[in-house]
Amino acid sequence: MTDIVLYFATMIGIYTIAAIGLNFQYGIAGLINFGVVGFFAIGAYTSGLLTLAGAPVWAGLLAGSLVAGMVSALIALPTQRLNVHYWAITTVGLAEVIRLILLNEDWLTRGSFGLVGIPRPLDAIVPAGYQTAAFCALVWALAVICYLALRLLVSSPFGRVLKAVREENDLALSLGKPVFSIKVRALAIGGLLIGLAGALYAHYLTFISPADFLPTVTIIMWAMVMIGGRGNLAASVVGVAVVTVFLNSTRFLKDVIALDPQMIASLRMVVIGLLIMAIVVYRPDGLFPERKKEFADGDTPAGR
Amino acid sequence: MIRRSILKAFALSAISLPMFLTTPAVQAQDAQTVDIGVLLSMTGSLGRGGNNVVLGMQTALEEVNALSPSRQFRLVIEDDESSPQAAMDGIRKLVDVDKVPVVLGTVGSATTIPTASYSLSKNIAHVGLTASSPDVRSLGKGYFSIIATDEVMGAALAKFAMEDTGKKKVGIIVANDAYGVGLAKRMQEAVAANGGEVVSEVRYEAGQPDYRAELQRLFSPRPEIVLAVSWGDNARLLTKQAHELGLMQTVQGAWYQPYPAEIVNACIAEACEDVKGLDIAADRGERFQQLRAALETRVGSDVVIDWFIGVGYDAVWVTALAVDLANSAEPAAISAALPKAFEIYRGVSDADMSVDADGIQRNQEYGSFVIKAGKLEPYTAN
Amino acid sequence: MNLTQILINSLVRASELGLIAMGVTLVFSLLRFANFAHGELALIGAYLAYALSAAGLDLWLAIPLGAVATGFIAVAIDKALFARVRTAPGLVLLVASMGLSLFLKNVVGAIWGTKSYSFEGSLARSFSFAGGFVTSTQVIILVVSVIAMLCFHLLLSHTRLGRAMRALADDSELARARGIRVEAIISKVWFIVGSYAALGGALIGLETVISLELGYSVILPAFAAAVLGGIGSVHGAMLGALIIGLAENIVLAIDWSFLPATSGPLYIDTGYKLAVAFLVMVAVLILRPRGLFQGTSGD
Repeated sequence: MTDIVLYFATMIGIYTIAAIGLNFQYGIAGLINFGVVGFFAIGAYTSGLLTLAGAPVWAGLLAGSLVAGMVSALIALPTQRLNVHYWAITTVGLAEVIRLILLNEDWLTRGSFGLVGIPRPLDAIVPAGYQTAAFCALVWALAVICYLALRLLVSSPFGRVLKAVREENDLALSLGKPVFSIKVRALAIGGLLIGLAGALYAHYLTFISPADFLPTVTIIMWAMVMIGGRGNLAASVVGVAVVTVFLNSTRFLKDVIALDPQMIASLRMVVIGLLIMAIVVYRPDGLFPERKKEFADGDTPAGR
Repeated sequence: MIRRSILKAFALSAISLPMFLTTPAVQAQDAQTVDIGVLLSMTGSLGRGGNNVVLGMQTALEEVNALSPSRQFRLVIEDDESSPQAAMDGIRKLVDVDKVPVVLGTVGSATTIPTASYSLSKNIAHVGLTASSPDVRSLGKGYFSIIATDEVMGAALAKFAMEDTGKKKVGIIVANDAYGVGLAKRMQEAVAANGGEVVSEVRYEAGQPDYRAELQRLFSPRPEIVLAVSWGDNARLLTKQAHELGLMQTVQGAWYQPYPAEIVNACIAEACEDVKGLDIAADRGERFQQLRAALETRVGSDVVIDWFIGVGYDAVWVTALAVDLANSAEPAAISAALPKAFEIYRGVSDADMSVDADGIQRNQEYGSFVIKAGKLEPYTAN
Repeated sequence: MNLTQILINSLVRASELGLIAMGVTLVFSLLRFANFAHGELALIGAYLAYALSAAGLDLWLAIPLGAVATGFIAVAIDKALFARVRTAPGLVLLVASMGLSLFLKNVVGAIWGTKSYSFEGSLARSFSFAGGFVTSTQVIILVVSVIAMLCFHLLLSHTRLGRAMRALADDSELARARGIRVEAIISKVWFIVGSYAALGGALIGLETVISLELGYSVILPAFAAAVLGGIGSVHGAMLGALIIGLAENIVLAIDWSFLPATSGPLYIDTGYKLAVAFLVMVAVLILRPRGLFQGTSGD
């Protein structure tokens, strides 16, 4: 029983890092990234390939998040008109292209066979029996560091400019703020986190293949962020936990009541879709909206 | 005292199964119940395969439970949703919560490798079903496979096609997944080894609504033989569009397919007329006929036994046999007894099911078949 | 490379895609958001048409009926979801449409399951035409689609509704001030784009198979066609669909060895087929950010 609790705790930790990154892009910078899974995959494959080639795990994690961050910045190129809709469409397409590259460039990625035997960090130094707990602790330590770093960033001058850009694009433009480069930086920072989460995912499961990175993952991450609340980074963890528990609840429910697996699989996603729509309509800022004064612009001091 | 009656049925293999099914059930009140963990794609892209595996498994389960009144088996089935992440959730539940002593699963390589690694790390034997990627060899002790890996089918199909037609120019079209690409690699090697030439190799993405561009590419260097890896809807669309584009006609029935039982009901009869292929259950022997009879009463007389059904059926039988051999429901004992069980067992998917040191099938016999007027018929190569 | 065959395939693809891309661009120009659920309207249209024909209705009644029903569903969706967030910022609408897309696809999945369906039980009759093959189904698809597009063109240019739509797309404030009943027009537009997408989906299903992936498989090409034609331009979207259709079929068929620094025949891996439409779109966005035809809105 401890094993499965640790397993879900670790998974929630990994997705929390990704959700914080996505929430930063969406909630703080006002950018739509419908291709989250692509950046997640980049982080996973970069770190997986490097460590399989002999690099230490820490270098893999670092490289995984850096490459994902860089690609995030690159998607800005075709969408210089700053149109949020074009960003969204481009990210969907990019995630698809990334998946196709993973699938087709066998010489690099082993295609559909996936990467086998990705090393787990800590396994060498932690005594047997405590390894899963140690990995879980590592994930959560990284999650907390990411959260604190982003909070610092949000309350910095850069964070205030970001918010200005989000709220009043035209106003920020007319004030002479370099809106485009600010958005690119915000995308890159979010991408770093999503890539790091992907890298951790690879090292935790030790096997990844393109089948891990289907478009559904993107939608599930969006549901996590929407439930947590737009712009409220800390609450993302609640969204992640709620969605993870919900998606797995039917596994345990079906042992009690007989349920048709096909119907259940569809209904699970119907509920996730309904939830996203209901939040947009009734609670546009999520169940735990960002506290306005915490991010107040101008000279109002942040804090209470 | 638990009677090891399943073992007896096979030890005295001269005696056919139906005789045992008629033996009166003995006292069932103090029966031991053994859970068999099953991890399968019930939904998602591999859902159709997974559901057929379950059909085979349930048929086998009824038979072994009837034979073994003092030890009853139960399937604990988890859906892997054809996704590695959901598969990991599922295996954790089976191993950590349900505490099953043995796991059967899954149907795809991408879900089998990570989940089997986990079962094995907990010292629980993992019986792979239709995952054919050679990577399963790296899983190590405790992993067993009901089917052979890609090299066997890939080589056999290419050789069969070339001998049957006497032609050399081969086009290959496969699904872009571990199953299709793995087979393509082996087919290429086998074509070269038999003195032929692969003139085109095309991958398609399963589940797409249109394959005309892929087919054009496949046929543009004018192959004389096509080796196609497809199933269900993909097979239907490929043969239909190849026919409508006038391309199918250019190879005149030299379209070969692994496991044609998987496609026979999905395809339009006219489009897949004369499609040939290799399938399991080479001899269509006694065991196969027993399964057929059982399935006819279960789902109707038009049932086509494909490899998923056969593999599911064999997996439960061989596992039950191992439990019987070990006379124990302890994970370590089952794991230790499985190689012996594979050796004794005479299966539907293959008569000789003995495994090598990696737990993989030593050999695999296939039968050759042809589709005529929408029905699968035995076929003798020229 | 068989040029005739490529042209036939591209034309058929374009006529299906155009019906869907047209709606994407119309919704964008009137309601100012990229509707990620648009592909699912095509999905619903295909399944409804299938269900009606499976219930015994003639195909040529089932497809239009399915389209009309999908039109009403689109109006209902607008009333239930998009109307409530009409004034919300674009990115909120985007997220709503993404949730809607997941919802619709899985409602269809819950009703019809994940196996796929086909209209016909036999092969379409195909005949040789100038060195290529064309099936009777493809001819019908072309004719139906051209008639549908023509009807829409007439509606846009010769009716009061068309004029009101154009006015609304140009400037919704002004349109309101001139006494146009905005909400009524929006409902009519949803009905039209819903039924056109449904028709496109049913035609795709007629030619190939009806599966749950239909919606997702057309949405990127449809967006690409709309962007290519200049978002907001219906005629541009139709032309964009033609270009995407051609690109999808030509890029894979071309031997790229004429490029410098290549040796031997060089074909693009068919595994990248799904990326072609998107890459064409990205190239256009970089080179001509306003689309190939400099679309304004609703022309």
